[in-house]
Amino acid sequence: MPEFLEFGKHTTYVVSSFALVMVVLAGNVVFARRRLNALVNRTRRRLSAEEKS
Amino acid sequence: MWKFIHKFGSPPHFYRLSVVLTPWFGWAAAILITAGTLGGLYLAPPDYQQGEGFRIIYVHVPSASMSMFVYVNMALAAAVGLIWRIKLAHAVAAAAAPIGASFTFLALATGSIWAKPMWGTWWVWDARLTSELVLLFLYFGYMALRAAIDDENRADRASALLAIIGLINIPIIKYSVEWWNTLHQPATISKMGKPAMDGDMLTWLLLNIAGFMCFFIAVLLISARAEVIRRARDQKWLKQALGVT
Repeated sequence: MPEFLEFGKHTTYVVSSFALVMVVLAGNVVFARRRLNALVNRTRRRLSAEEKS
Repeated sequence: MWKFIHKFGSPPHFYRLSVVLTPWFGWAAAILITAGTLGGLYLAPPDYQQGEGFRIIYVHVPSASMSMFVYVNMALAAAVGLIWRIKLAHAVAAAAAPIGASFTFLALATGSIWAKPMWGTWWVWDARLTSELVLLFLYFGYMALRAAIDDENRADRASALLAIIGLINIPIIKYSVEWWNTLHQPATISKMGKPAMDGDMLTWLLLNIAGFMCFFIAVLLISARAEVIRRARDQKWLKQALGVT
């Protein structure tokens, strides 16, 4: 374990708590952005197809 | 007032506003959470009883506060949608639910990790922990109900009712540590009284709470934008917003 991640006898608990929070927060951003991008692309394709037909 | 509500409730207006606001809240969240986390881990002094283990508070308290804050906002948005029939309010409530569920999961998980070294157990059926678990089930119930009903209007109404009824759990979570004899410690920050923490510790906690709040708003704006596109019927503004010529 690197020195900057040493928190005495509670290292495992402290590091795992912070790591879990950061992973879940990052997951929220990734999931929200991917869903938005997928919807934007799908809607663009649909609207373009409707305009051509 | 009505004009403002209806202007803000217009999907094109909301869409344009959310595109502008998202990066501001996103960057504010990144800066505040980085500062709060680094300060909480390295600058705050260790607790005289819990030692270094108390540092979990810097992620546990913001997650727990946000789990309740998001639920109240979700229920308010659902109520606005139900009373004034504003579709955007239902979209915002639907977008808030998964974010609130994430915060609730984090509050329970970090609380459990903190409980092990301090209480000697991962979990106890204590009033605070149990009512927070009920909150997680309320979020799951809200999302499951929406997913189970095909008709959008019926799904909006049914889930809004569930969200409003579930509000009763919020004061139970908040005051559980006062109403019952619990293992969980009393509130660290109270609106009325003096905080139970020293200023050197409190500053970083407040920064993280502010950061989590900005994070919620940024992700909500992204998710609500997706929800608005999914529900959009008027194609004219959508074509303009998505740059379809």
